Amino acid sequence: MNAPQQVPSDEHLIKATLSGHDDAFSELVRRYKQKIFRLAARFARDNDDLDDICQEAFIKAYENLKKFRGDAPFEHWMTKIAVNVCYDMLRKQSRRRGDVPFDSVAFSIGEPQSPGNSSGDEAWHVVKNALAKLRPEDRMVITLLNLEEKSVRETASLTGWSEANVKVRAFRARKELKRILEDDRGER
Amino acid sequence: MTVENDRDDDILERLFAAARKSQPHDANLEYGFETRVMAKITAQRGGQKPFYSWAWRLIPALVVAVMMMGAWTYIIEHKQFIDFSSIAGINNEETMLVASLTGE
Repeated sequence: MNAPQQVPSDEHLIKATLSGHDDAFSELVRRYKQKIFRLAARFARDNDDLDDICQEAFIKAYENLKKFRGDAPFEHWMTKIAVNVCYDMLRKQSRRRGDVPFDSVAFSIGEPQSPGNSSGDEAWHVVKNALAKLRPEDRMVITLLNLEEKSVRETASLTGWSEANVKVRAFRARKELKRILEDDRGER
Repeated sequence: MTVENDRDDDILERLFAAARKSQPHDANLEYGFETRVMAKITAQRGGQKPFYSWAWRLIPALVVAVMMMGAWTYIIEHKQFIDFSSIAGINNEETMLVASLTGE
């Protein structure tokens, strides 16, 4: 009878990668790519952007793997790198603010939403367009807290900001987002 | 004012809740992603070539260095030869002078 094959732990794969076995890192990428894609998709403008962000995040992780101390799970460390890459991209985009496309999507936020993909997609388009008008730090805090449903502590840990700073930024960002949505509604 | 604010917050929360249900990316993008990442890592590593891959560029410099060392060695040896012969000549002259003075 065959013994059940044991799934290698992240720590084991990290050690193997550091010993020169690239296949081990490939397994780590396969394990966490979905999570990183889902997160990065909240910041990317299109599919090319998304692929670039995810590749950059994993390559940075590979290059800095020696610095991983194992204090927190690899997943958290990896997410932190992805958040940093996304934040850098947002800052670059904000310098070229005129490039951000704005699609006007008919979506009445006053109406109760029925669960379903189409209303979800519509809602996401509205939020995405409004988020594109926010400052990078405001967009980051709203995305992590309200779309990714991270706690204030998790958001602080991922961004490197203090919890108080996250709360203040979240308050301001929310206020600004409401104003943007209100303006958009007035334009329609 | 507070009632209006609460209403806005409620609308915003419903909008966030609806947006969370959306999957904002095409899952097909993930297909073969690890292969692409590893290929990029390998390509980047290829850019950082080991020292022996550019060692051949040092060949002309090494040839020049060897030629200069050869020339320098020749000059030094030649100079030493001249010095030895002159010393030998001086010694010979001294010997002849001593021989003529002593009558040997």
